[in-house]
Amino acid sequence: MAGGKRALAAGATLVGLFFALGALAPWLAPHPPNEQHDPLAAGDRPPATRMTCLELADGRRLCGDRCEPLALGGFRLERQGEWREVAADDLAAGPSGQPHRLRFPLGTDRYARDLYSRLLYGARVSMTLSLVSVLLALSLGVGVGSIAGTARPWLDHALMRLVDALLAVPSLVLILALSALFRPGNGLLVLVLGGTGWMEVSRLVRAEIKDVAARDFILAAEAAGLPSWRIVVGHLLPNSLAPVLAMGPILVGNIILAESALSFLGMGIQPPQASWGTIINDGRDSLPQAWWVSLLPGVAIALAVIGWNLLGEGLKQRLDPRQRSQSSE
Amino acid sequence: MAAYLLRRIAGALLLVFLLVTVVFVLMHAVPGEPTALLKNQNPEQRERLIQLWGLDRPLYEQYGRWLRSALLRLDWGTSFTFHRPVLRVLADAFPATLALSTAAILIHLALALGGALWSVRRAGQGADRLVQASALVLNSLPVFWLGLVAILTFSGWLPWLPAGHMRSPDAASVRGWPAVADFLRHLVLPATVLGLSGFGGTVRLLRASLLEALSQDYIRTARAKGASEARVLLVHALRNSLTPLVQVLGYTLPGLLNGSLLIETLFSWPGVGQALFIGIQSFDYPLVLGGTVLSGVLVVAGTLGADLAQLALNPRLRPALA
Repeated sequence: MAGGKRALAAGATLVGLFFALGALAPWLAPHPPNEQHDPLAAGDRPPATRMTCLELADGRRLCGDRCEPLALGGFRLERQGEWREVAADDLAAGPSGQPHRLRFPLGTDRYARDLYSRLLYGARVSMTLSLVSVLLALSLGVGVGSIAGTARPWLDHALMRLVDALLAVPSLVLILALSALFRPGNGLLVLVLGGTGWMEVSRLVRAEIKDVAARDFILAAEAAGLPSWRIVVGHLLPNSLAPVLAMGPILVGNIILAESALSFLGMGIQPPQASWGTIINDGRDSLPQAWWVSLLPGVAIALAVIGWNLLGEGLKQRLDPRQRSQSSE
Repeated sequence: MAAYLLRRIAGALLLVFLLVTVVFVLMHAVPGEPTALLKNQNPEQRERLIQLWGLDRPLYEQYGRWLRSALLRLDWGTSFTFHRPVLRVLADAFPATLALSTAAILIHLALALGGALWSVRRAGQGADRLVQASALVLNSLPVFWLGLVAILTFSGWLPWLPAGHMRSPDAASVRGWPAVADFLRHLVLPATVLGLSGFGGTVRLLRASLLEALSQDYIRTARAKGASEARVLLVHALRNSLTPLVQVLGYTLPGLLNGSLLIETLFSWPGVGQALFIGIQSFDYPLVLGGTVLSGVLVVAGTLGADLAQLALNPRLRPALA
């Protein structure tokens, strides 16, 4: 891939963008993510919809494509091609009872929730959840990997066979089985996703430690009589972590994909909370008439994962001189 | 060589045993029982079912019992949801999955080979960039979303193909070629989507190993004796780049099984993935355990097979084992 620098910059930009969108969701979102605006008339509306809405005295909201004042007070709203009259008595008191325009930049889902707002909150969920899960996976992986890399051969062997066994189960099957048993809240979801993502990391860390341990400066440290824990913590680990750093972003991408698959199957984030996976699932039943509900979150997922993958790719080429010379072929 | 083979097979068996144990412990690590299923029963029935399924025994006893019957009598228990032996449920679903995965692998290979060859022919040019970019994008797309897009496009907007299931409802009466055609029409969408998953990794690896092969001396020799560029690429370079591909195919098996779970669920394809998903949803311990073990065995076998095939294809690897 040409130009690790460009990949790094593009990846960092995309990832930064999604972090900003997620962090600023409460300010950027035009509507609360779970607010249902008049499902009868405003459900499954296409992107760039504007509607005129009236607040009723009983707390309901009516939305229509057109709104005209009536001679005797009150208004009439065109909803789904039919005019409906609302008497002045039924309107909420004060300015909220007056017609006001609502915008749905990316359309609405079948419960008439604003898709744009839900996507923003979904970014928040995906980014935090995957990042925390990856931190968990990385710490587990580094922990197990460094134990295996420095322990006696029998323990090393036992740990690595365990890793092999866990890797042999297709990850989604493992994650699904676990999350079905735990009936996840978001905290447990992190545990499941992080707890199933550490195996590759531990393999990498172990290999790297074995590699570094054979180098001269470790011999020198041993010869100088340093206690072995200081050699491990002060010399071995810091010199083995570079590839792990590059693996981190790629893991984040994988976990975003796993989380969305899980939520899509109804085993991850639980509705009505917005996550990219649950939004895709929500839109599944109305796919033919309202394709935007299921398609747009997929685009968001793809962009975020591409961002993380580019970041990982760039970091790898940056941190590993061997990769740098290879990429100039 | 024979010793190596024995060692690898013994290792694989040990791995499967370890896998069974790990899955069993994980599945029972959580206090509780198949609550979803038992909730609606009256206390008497509950008691009876718990006894019938052995859920009241200590964990090690359940494990011992399962292991004994699974290994000695090939009895993997009875599925709570399907009320049939687990092995039967899995065996009935297996042909559908096998057909789907085989078609997917063939599509995957054809696309990856085509893409890699095209990109190598025009290394550094627009086509090369296009292939690399689409590899990146395809690797970053959720496969179930790709499936939805495919359904929407090819059975919604363009009503060409069925959106799910393995045969048309009225196909039971049809025999012979029409039945085959009907089956193939149902196969196209799920197999293509599944074949596209993990495509990025394969195409990139194949491209790299083709480029590496092209820089070797024997390629210069082939060109020097006047072989056409197509012959150089297809005969000399490609043949020598296939070895890593075999390995990759072995290792993409877990991804393929992941994908087939999603794709089968999405397309209502009556395979192992769908059965497993139904089992997972309803705490069907025996079925989940059986399905997990089956997919684990497939993965272990795939990896082993890939390693051995590589050995067969590349004599240079052999002396290292002696």
